[in-house]
Amino acid sequence: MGEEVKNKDIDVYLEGDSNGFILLSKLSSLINLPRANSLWYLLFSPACCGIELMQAGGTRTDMDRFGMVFRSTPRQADVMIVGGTVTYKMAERVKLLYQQMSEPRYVISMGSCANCGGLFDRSYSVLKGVDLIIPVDIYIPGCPPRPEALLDGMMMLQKKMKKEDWGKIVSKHTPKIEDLKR
Amino acid sequence: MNIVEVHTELKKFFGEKLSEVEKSGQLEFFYFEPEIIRDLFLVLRDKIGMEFKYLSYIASVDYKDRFELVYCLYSYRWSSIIYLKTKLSREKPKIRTISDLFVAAEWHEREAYDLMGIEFLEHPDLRRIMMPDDFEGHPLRKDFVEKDNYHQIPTNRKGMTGRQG
Repeated sequence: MGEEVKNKDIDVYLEGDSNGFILLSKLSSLINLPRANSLWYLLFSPACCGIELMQAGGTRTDMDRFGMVFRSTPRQADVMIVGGTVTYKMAERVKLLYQQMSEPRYVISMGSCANCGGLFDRSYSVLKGVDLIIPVDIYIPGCPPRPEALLDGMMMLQKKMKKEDWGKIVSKHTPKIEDLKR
Repeated sequence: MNIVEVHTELKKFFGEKLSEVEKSGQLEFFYFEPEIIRDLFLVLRDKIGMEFKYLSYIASVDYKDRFELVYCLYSYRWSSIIYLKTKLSREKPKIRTISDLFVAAEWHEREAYDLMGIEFLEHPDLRRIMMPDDFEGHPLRKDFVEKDNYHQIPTNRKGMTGRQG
């Protein structure tokens, strides 16, 4: 007896019975599945949205159940959550942390300050949005956003990752044959 | 010991260098000439019967034609608080430091130097305290104009999509 399972997110086609089955899917969909479900975020926050970030990792929201755990070094992190006001002094450090993360890397801008400067829009020392220095994937509004909103943003990022073409990402960072011959 | 008693006591030492006690809202204060600052604070701190040993804060104010410094002193002996002000020129604001008398003054003076550009003579370590060392200008002055870039980082969202600010 044949059985078909169709998952919209990951494009899986399953056929078979208890003796064995065939699973048909795109390679990039299969690779994206574990990638999106082990979203390690950097243990870093410049300001007070970090309190909500800690809360989102706590028992009530429990981001851990989606495979989202914090890493304390940028070299092991997939996603950076910029939670809070970034001053010009801090902006250069944020950029340095981002550059230390390995590809593919993602950035979530959390809260009004990181989105556009927010409350400190007219300030002489605050960066008017973190997207002026690093590319941002997801913006979360709020001052601060609730842990539920942050979790929603992380799950939106998961959806975005599942739609990505893994082959293109790999080929972008793989040396060309001409480069190897040299 | 309230401010009027302090003022009459200090008048014996400094005479014309002190203004009369003024009142603005709830705040009672008097002005002093900048050149007597060290002697004045030495008397306030050490004279028996005064003993204002605690410097609460130093604030700087920009009045467009002049700068003013506000010194707030507290006496544990009398449980009283007094405010002293002094006027500085807008072009070259300079005053002697009191960080050798009150250690707390050191960082307060650095803050006034950083944000308002007031120079404190004989200060042991007059550097910026909050802004980056290579920042240009003093941001709390009324005539401060922000630059378009800081280290190639744009300081506004012109040209970005979405909200303009």
